[in-house]
Amino acid sequence: MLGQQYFRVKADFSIKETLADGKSSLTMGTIYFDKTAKRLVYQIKFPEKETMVLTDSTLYRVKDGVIIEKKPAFNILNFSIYNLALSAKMSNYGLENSGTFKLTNVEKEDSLIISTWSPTNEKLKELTGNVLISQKSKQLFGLVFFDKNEKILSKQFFEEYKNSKGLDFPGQITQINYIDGKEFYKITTFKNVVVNDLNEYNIYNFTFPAQ
Amino acid sequence: MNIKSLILAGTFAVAGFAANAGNASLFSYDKGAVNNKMNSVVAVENFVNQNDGVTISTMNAEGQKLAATANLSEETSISSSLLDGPAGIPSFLWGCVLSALGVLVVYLVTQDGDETKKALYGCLVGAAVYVLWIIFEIVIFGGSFY
Repeated sequence: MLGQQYFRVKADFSIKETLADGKSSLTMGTIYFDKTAKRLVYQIKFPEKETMVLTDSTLYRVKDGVIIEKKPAFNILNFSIYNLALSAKMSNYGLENSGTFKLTNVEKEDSLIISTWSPTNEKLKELTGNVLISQKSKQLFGLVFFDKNEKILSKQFFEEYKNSKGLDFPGQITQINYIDGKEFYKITTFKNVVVNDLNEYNIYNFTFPAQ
Repeated sequence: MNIKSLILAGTFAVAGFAANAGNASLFSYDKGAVNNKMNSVVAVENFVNQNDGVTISTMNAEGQKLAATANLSEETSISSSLLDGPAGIPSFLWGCVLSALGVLVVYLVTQDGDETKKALYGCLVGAAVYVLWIIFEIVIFGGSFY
């Protein structure tokens, strides 16, 4: 499988967000993901310098060489876009293997191939509706999430793809959340994407400080 | 084929086209509106890019003014978007049951309160079974499945 040849990705990121309390948020830094080491490292430079490390079970916050917070984060790493991209599973957002949604319709219109994914779990059906996924030029383009009454909850758009060593990675992800009739935005941008970087071993394989 | 059948077929064809058109049109958004809303945050982002190493607490007056205009939070949003679960329940449980997409879906859905909470508790049963299974594997088989 072609995706198996990719094992690392690094990128400068920025997350800009409008929040429900009227504030906004800006987080900037660099992400390092190593598929083999199962580490997603956020080296954050703004708003304050700190490191966040997501393993396959836990999220750690490290500041000034000390772990300041530790939270369970089971199974989130596998479904991060970094892992999905390196595993060549991004085009359907990993839903194919989720076991919780099944493909119920596929249609083509203009340059988009739109697939409809429906929840399989009865409890999940009480919570949510379908998820529509569109692909453009074989790349993930958009996601639309519906609630159980088929009202749109959120949209995500994956754009400005850049190719690094044969791996397509989005340069911008725009998310629009619809809450109480209002729209809230989140824009994640990636720059300087490096695939299969052989430098900075110590960051990709982050060693936690002794507690 | 009589006239009635033709009209019926035509109606289905138009309806089918409309459904397709409806779905495709969902995959668009007002970029201008998004950019307008983000202008003030972009100004802070540009400031940070131009002032290497600056943080929210070390910004000069110009940076502080930009941050104030953007009504900028002092917290990073990564931890909350990854982990703070709906209804006060940590997202790792949703990760057990629904995968990360489930976490996102539940997070979005649970903006509307009590009714959803009940369904969430139902999902917890599934998570508990899964956790118990893992404990069983570790205790009985010494985690040899991994």
